[in-house]
Amino acid sequence: MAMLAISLTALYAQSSLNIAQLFDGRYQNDPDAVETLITGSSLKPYNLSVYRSITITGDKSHAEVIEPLVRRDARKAVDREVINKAGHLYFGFYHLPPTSSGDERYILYLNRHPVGGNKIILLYLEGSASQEQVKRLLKN
Amino acid sequence: MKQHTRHNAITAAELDELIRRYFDAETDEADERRLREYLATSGISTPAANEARAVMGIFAAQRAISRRSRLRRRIIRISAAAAIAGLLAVTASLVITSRTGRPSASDDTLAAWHNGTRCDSPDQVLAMMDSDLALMGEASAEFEDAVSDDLADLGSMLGE
Repeated sequence: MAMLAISLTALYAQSSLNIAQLFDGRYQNDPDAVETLITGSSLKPYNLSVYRSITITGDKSHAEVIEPLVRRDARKAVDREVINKAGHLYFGFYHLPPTSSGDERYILYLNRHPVGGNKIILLYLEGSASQEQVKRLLKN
Repeated sequence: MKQHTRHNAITAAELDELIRRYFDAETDEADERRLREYLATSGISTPAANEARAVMGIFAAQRAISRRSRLRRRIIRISAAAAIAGLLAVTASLVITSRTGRPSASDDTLAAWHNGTRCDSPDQVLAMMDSDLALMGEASAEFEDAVSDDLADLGSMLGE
């Protein structure tokens, strides 16, 4: 029963974040987007329990929806790395306060349109991974 | 007389307000726990409630709660049987425990959705994850380079 409680907590901890509303399924039916959800044993090597992502290729107008929500959640961040370009949030790495169960939470956002790219990526990570461990994951 | 059951502890107006505050990130943990429990255990189906369910991962939670409810119902049945035939009930209980003792295995999810199609191929989903992380890594490196450059510039200015 304790294991069940822990796993449910992992599913719940995204609550209270503004970006959570983006994972309502709207991008699952979008021909320009890919949404992923990974939980459980696949993430154990990374000390993560939840990995959620939305990747949008082509249509830069999605940034107008996603960026404000990321910026709102960013206000709560305990640590951040941010690059703005051409008046837009180009890259954001936000370490959020831990959940009540002690899991760390991270939001990562990348909009490559200001540099001539065509992708917008939003990631939500949760687990025991430290900020350094997440940064190492990005470098692998 | 107002009934205070778990399902009607929240009025429709309270629910709408709770969902609104949730999406505005104004809820505290107690509010969210209350909302979560209500959405997971009630059958209410409104656009706002369904959206909140989707965002909170309640569908997964409902499956878990359903499993828990099924387990609870099994235990009750087993207890009743125990009154009639104790030995049979104990045996049944042991069987059920052995079947439900590892619920976390069913919480493994590895899925991607594109254009209304779900992909459950671990290789493909993990490849997407790797691709996204690699692009994030490039941007993160760019940030670190920018910070290094700024610090170098600052050092040069201080050295002058």
